Amino acid sequence: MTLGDIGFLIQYAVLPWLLLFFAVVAIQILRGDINTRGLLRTRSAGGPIDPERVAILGTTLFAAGSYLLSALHQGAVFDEATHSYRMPDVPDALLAVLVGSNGIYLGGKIMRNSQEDNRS
Amino acid sequence: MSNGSGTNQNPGGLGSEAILFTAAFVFAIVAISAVAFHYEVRPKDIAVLGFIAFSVIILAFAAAVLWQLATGTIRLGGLISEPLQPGEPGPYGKASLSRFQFLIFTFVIAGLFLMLCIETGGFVEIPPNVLGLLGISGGGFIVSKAVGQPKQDNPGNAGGQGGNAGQGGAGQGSAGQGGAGQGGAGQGAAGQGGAGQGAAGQGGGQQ
Repeated sequence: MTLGDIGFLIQYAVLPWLLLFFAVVAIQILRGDINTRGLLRTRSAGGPIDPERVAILGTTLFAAGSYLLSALHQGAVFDEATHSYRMPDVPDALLAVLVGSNGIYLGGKIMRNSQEDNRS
Repeated sequence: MSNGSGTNQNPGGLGSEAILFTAAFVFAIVAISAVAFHYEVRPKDIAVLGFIAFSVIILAFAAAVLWQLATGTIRLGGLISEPLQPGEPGPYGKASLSRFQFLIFTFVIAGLFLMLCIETGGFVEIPPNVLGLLGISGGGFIVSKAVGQPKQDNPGNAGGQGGNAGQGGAGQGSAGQGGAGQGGAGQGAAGQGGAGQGAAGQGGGQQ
């Protein structure tokens, strides 16, 4: 048995470990063991759901899901310039959408804060 | 240390345990070396055996952590929560959308990185715009913290709060400590600087 053989075996132990770790976190979020109270609200107790928070949540899940599917479909990309493999690129449009939704979220947050300051 | 006298109650017992452990360790090394010489084990084989032992130990650590996460011994309840604010009910603070976003992107990129490394048989490069995906999320998190920091009448106090709350991470701690030092001095101008830095460190009451 060589070092390469051991490395080959270990990579198939690490991958299930990582997937199980993700699964544990996902299950705990779905079961409510991981606190998600007030994720879509500015105030934790009561208060309306903020539209910009819904938007950024949707954009995040869409961006993560679309990149995951794209990368799984595409696989590693061989770079001719460096003669090495690299992860697939994230489309610029997706980055722009993400920057926009983050900007709207932060803008809404700043607006709400300034409104509260004016009231007080 | 517990009784505060500063004296060891059983120095002879502790010393004998240490000597026994050292002797056992040396004996084990000598025994392994003797077996290696007897069977004419090559250095390459020793490297393979060491690699196997090292891998087993690391994987055992990983399995133990995963088991404790799954059984709840290591609690993940506050994984995406803000620090608990004064007067806020419950064991955890309000959930943070920025932390959740950071978690999702980290999972996706880490999982893909590992799978592509397995596919290609070596490390793959991470393009700048993939790092940008994490950067957008991290940048949004920091700006969100700065914006959500509640304003204080006394800037010195605000800096002090930032210092206390900013101990969670390296970057947060350094920003918060600046606020603590200046705010604690109670100086007007220095305290204002501390309030601004503390905002980045603390995380604020309105996330």
